[in-house]
Amino acid sequence: MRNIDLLPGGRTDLAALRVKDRTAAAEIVALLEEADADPRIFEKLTTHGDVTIGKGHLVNVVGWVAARRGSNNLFRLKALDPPVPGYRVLYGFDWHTRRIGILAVVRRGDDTYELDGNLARRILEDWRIATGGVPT
Amino acid sequence: MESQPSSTTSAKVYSHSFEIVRPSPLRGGTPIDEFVKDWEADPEMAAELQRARTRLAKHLDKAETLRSLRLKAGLSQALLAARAGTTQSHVALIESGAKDPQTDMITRLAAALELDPARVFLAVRTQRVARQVSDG
Repeated sequence: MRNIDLLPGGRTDLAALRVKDRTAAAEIVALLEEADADPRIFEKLTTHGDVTIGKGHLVNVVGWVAARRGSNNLFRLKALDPPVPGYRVLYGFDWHTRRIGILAVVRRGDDTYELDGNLARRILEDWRIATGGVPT
Repeated sequence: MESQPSSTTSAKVYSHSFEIVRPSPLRGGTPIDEFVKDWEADPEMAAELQRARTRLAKHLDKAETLRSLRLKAGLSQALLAARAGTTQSHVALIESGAKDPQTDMITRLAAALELDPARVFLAVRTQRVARQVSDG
């Protein structure tokens, strides 16, 4: 398929994670690679709730409700199964191009999701640029 | 696309060349396979990615498929394609069960995976059967 892009904030976060926790960074990238390669996995990234990928890789996908009020189709993915405990991937899905943009990779607990926070502002700006400001 | 007519005694044959156009990424985005190339260039990170893919292998497929063989070998679709002398798109089609590879391609995939061609053949067949079942 090849419909997953790393947006600036996502690239920055993964680069930092590569230095801090190489194993976790590799786990996240490997999962995203396979989601990019398999439409069935890709589709599950826009399905809410606990989603089983394959035969047992349980992930949780949650919509970012506050951001969605601004017509942003943003999600956070949490891999529930080890071996990437404690990290979340935030991404958006653009219906027009059917592409997913990875916006951030954060440590659980660092993500407050307050819309006036620095992280949220960065994410929303990256998403606005990525989609040309068109509601997704 | 080009067409070049050539005449025979009673017919004209046109040849066309088609270029597969890859969808554009989101603005400011880097497709994940491009991003991973940089990481693969670092031997330590490449080894980390290999380990991550191997760990992912046991989660994605119930039966032995080409994908599970690929992941157990620590390879992405792009890496397997390069080793087998084909394209990532071709590998994706084979893994999805949409394309039935010829014997030569089975042999090349087996060599790339350092496996017996018979095992690769069975894995590909398993994938196709699974697709036929899901397609009804």
